[in-house]
Amino acid sequence: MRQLLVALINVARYQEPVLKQRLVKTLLLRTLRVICHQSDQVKGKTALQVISTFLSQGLIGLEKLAGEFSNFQAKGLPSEANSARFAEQVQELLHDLFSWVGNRDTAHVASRTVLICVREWNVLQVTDDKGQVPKGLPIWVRPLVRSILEHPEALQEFKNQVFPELFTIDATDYLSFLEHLGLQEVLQQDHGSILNLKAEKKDLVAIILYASLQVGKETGLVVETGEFSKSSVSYGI
Amino acid sequence: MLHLEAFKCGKKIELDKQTIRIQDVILTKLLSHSSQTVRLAGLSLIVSSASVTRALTPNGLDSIKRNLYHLFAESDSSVRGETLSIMQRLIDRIRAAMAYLHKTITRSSKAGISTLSSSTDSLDTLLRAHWAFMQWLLRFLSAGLRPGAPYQRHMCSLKALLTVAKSGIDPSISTQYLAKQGLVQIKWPYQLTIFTPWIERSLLDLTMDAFDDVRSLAVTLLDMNQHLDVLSMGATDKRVIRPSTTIPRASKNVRIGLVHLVARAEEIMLSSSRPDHADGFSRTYAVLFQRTKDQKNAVEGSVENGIAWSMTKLGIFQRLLNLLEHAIKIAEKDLYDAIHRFPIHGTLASIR
Repeated sequence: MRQLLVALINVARYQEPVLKQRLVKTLLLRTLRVICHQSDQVKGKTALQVISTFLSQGLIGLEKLAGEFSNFQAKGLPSEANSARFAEQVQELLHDLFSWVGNRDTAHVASRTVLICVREWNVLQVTDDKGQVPKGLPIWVRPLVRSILEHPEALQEFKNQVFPELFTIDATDYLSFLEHLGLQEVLQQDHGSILNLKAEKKDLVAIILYASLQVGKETGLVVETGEFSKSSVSYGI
Repeated sequence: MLHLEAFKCGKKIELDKQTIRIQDVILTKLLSHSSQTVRLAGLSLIVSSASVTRALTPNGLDSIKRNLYHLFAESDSSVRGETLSIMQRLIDRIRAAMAYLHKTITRSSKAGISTLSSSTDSLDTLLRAHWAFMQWLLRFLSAGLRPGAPYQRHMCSLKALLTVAKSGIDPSISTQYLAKQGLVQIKWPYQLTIFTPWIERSLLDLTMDAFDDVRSLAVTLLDMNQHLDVLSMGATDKRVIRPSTTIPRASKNVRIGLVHLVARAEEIMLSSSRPDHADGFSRTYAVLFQRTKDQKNAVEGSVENGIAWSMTKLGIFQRLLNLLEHAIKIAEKDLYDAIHRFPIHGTLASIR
């Protein structure tokens, strides 16, 4: 499959720009149809592989993908497209990608595709000098929380397949995510202000937080400090 | 923008380069939370680490000590299962951390006394804290085996004791019983005797417990005890101790030999006719059978005590056969008496 995709990408690269654009658009439309309509997992896995390969091989960029995705969903860009709209498109795309994590067969490739998108978004943020890429909460936070709240049964797959690599991309983003989930309130045993959610969702958000903290501890992003760490002794091994 | 200042809640949570530092006090508080999910998460957070050799904080160890009582008494079996799974990770981590600490201290000591710094002393304190925790854990688990303890406590204590025994902390346990983790290069720097007289006696008593899984685990642990006496104690303790009755604290008479255990099990089975007692009876026979080496010469005194049959496997089988034949004879005479006073399912299960 991968060899076929690489061959296809090579063919597309040497085409005339118009032909190349048409070919990519056709392929993307077919792929997005599978992804957005949540077709069967075999097709879904292939479609996710197509997108991740296109992105990683540089055949398309995140901006192009998010635009095509938005058009496909009949939520076309308004003419006065702004940076907030772009972020919204990417978040919608990520949400759809996250929805494939719940399935064990597609979890890994969906996770890989999300990671490529997030890394590309981070690069765009760094290189952006026209203010097109908004700063603030990491782009993946809202779609991730939304996806898990919609499918809490998929938390274990998220924990195994998505969290470790997603969190290690940037520790500050990870910390922002924990803050968004109400790290302060939960650790101080005050569940009163977590995202202003209903009681049943508060517990779920707390569970997401604990799962995220545990992954953080297992990957070394979170470290507990005790009385020994304040002295000259470092017991951290 | 990262709201870093917001995270510095009394410096309990802070970002240091690419690491988030959380004070252990915050995590340990979770262990006594009203929600069982949070309690489990708290335990898991204390035990999890990127490196298995990273030592636990003294606060972490203390909080586990304080909260293990109620964690082992959880009514939800899945929560208890999760707790035991974390306990397995905890024991692996303590072993690895202790091995590392011991190695580091030994290296420092070899370098010369003059170079011993306060850091080595602190590492030594930390090592001792871990070892003290393991000693406490064994005491805690042995207390959980007492006959009057609830089922949850029995099960958790037995399973945790099995994990500790499989970890390789007791060198007297054969390597065939050790878990894969117990066979790896990381060894305990110190050794602990798992099968103390009190634990041994408690396990023997639990072979007649009302619950099948308790009996099964007790026998599994007894199988691991290479030094289980077939004949010890003897005449000084002939009390018939019913299951679920409180037995006295460990004393000189706490030891009980397998032969006496079998005799006791037989008496209990015959008096109650209950299937769980019959199962316990057959399990005690199985333990005795496995321990018995075919000795040509009976141990001194065994003939006088009327326990020569327990010296050989054939003798054990012959005794069971005699029991069965006796029960059949009774049944031929008086079926009512046979049903109520001489049940045979325990004997048949033992022969099987």
